[in-house]
Amino acid sequence: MSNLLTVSEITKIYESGKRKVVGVKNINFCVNKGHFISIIGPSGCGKSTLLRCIAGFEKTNNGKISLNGRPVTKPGPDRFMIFQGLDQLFPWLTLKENIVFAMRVVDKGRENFNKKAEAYLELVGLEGFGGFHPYQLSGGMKQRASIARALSVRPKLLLMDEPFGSLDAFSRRAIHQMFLKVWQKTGVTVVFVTHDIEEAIDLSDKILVFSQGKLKGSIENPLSRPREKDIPAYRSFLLKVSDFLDEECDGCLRLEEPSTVGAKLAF
Amino acid sequence: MFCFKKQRVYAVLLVVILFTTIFSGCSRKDMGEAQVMAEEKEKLSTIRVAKQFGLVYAPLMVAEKIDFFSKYGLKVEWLTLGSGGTVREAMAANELDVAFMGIPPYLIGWDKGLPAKIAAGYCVTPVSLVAYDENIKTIQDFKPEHKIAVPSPGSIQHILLSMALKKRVGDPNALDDNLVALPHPDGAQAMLAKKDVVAHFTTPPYLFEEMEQPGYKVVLDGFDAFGQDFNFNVSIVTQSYHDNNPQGYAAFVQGLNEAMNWVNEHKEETAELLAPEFKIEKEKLLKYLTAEGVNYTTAPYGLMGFADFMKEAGYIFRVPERLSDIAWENILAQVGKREGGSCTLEKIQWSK
Amino acid sequence: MRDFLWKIAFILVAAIIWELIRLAGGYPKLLFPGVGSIAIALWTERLDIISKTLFSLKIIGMGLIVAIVLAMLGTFISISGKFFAEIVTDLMAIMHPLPGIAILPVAILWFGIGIKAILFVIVFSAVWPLINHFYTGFRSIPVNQLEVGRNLGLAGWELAMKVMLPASFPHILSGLRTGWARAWQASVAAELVFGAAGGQGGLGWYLYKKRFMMETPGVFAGMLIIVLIGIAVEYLIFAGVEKRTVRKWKTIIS
Ligand SMILES: Nc1ncnc2c1ncn2[C@@H]1O[C@H](COP(=O)(O)OP(=O)(O)O)[C@@H](O)[C@H]1O
Ligand SMILES: [Mg+2]
Repeated sequence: MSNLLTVSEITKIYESGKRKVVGVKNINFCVNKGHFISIIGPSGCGKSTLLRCIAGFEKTNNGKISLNGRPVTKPGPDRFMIFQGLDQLFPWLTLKENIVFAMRVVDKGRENFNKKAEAYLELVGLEGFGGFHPYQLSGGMKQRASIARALSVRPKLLLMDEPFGSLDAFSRRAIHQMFLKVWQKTGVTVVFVTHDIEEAIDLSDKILVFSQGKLKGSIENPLSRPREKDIPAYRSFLLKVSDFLDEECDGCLRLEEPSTVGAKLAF
Repeated sequence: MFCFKKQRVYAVLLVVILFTTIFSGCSRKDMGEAQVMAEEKEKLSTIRVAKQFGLVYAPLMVAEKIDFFSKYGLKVEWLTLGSGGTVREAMAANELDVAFMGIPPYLIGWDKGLPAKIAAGYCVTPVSLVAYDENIKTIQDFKPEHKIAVPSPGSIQHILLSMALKKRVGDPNALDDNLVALPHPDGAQAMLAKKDVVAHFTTPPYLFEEMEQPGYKVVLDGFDAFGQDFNFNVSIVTQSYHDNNPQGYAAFVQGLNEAMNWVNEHKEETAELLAPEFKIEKEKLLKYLTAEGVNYTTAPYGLMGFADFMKEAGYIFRVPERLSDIAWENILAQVGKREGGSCTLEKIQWSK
Repeated sequence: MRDFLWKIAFILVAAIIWELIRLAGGYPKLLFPGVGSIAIALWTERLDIISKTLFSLKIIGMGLIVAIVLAMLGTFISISGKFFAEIVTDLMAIMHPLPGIAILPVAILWFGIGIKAILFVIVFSAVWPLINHFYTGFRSIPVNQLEVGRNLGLAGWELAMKVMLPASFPHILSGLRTGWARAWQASVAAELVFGAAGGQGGLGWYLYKKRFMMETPGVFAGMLIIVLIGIAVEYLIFAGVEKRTVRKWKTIIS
């Protein structure tokens, strides 16, 4: 399989006044086309920073990121970000309009966006909700709609920063199943950030473990799909990942993740 | 929702009613008889006069400084109010007994039912339209872009300009769109800076100051417009004060006469007394006080002459039929009523 | 709309009470003009009132447009850097409490007597609350929405128009409300204090003239028009826009 995303020697240092904070340091990895990669690690280890660098929201201090061999310099619809927050849909537009808006900005054409938008809503299980405004939806539905909007511009890479972190266990289960189907159907490549080990195991082909701004290791997921939780292989893999995390993150607590760090207002 | 709205409306209505009851409670109508009597008694010795500032008010300022009233047992409460409009409103609200204003503003108030009449004439002074633009020699020379400053709509200056326009152009409102309402000092400032306005209808001392500048000339003389002399101001006294305080009324008129006469007899002392008030040199003030055309007098001039024109031009809706409609008995007695045709004093109440 | 009708009904009821009080007290027309005489003044002066109203609306419209453009510029400048943000917020703190009418003397010195001075007062009165609301609005745009916009490839002017503007619309709307109210008040107050230049004047100038002519019914007629326009703009424009936008989106701010 071909190599879609290459991250080499990426370093990002935040400078707030005189203080310098390391976001991520010397990160190297590749993601193959069509793969589903998870990144896990304790809070503050640089997961969001890395994703934001790939998305082009942050300038890196060192290193190179390339997508299909082309260097990443600024945000673009070929890498689409989905955030944890439930406020990423535009509240002044209906769900369908949100999707049409995105397609129109990216394609600039005059195609039949309406029909396509409906198809994407159906894809994420929101058929019939096109005329709803975001305030009329539950958290899970909002995230589904965000996924539909992201897919509608046909990105090569989906960057998901704890997209289901604000959902209850119930809707999270449902959305996992839906999302896996969509992933398989569309063949989109996914980099998925989470602090939930089980979520990473359930969804991804490979797990990257981060700690204190560094990539500590990458673990291939041996489980076949669809994944079942009540088999010994699952439990032993879970144990393996947990142990690795405990080892690597020696001394640093595994905390609940805060939502994405406030990005700088700039345009 | 519906009910809530209703409640709110009722609440607002209640507040309105409450307010109006308080309002009417404050008015004299609902006062107890005894209270009115007591107030009237006290009023016997006091009179509320609106004070004004300006060269033409020199006799009034002298009257205040030297106090020509107390020997008649009258105490004057001097009030300083904003514009001529405020003075009339204060009179209508019975907050003021005496005011000084031009004959046209008084007629506008009289027309609307302001319960007050003329108790004395107040000076005859030049009122002139000054312009500095050399292309403007008469009032026919104004172009639409030329702005003319007058103190306010309905002021004596405004009416004089309209009268002249009626005579010479046929349309009293021909220059209405050129008028700018500016108080005298602001108008003079604009004129001296040659900014915004090209002409100013004004009175001493602003008139003198403007005429001292090279190139500034009179394009319309107020006496020409009117046809003869007229009081620049008249002193008006409210009906209620006149009727309820005859002694106070008489004392005020007599005190004013004395002050007026004192100024005429003592111009140098007047200049000395008032120079600090006007913040100009004594010599300059004396020059203004003794300038040609300035007449410190309480005699009535031109009281009836504005009304016909003002009605015709739509400023008022009725005209006084006889002098007694607008003047108190002391004025009527001065003017007299000659059998078999008007006497000179009667004639000078009209315009020519 | 029902709210609007209620306001009208309320005015009618108030008129009846007004008339009852006037008749009961026997007040002179000069102080307490009857509803009838106010109605007559409204009718006989209708042409003058309409032209004065149009003039007022025109000059306020012009002033508001200038103020909105300035406020937008000020807002863009202040969100493009911390340094500018401090300057603008400081300026706002100094200027916001200053009533527009208080700068009339300065306006006359700078712009002379005429429309320009009144326009200046209107712009000055409206621009500070506008900047205040716009700035707050832009600052309160959810970061995620901005980044979705940037992610789609929007930047600069396009991002501002397509994302920032609608995202901050609730604040912009309440800014426009305040700006309109301040501009309306300023135009009436300025003309009431200093009159108007020549034949060009609005409702403030109408009140001024009526006052100097002691036509109390005319003064009340002018006031009534001012109130009615305020109500009409609120109910026919702002409430309508609000219903179609922020109320529909449930992004209304209190
Ligand atoms: N905009 C920023 N300015 C300064 N420091 C930041 C900023 N964003 C993140 N950081 C810091 O960088 C480090 C990594 O943060 P982040 O990437 O958000 O971690 P994670 O997403 O894994 O919790 C943290 O120490 C955080 O405080
Ligand atoms: Mg994070």
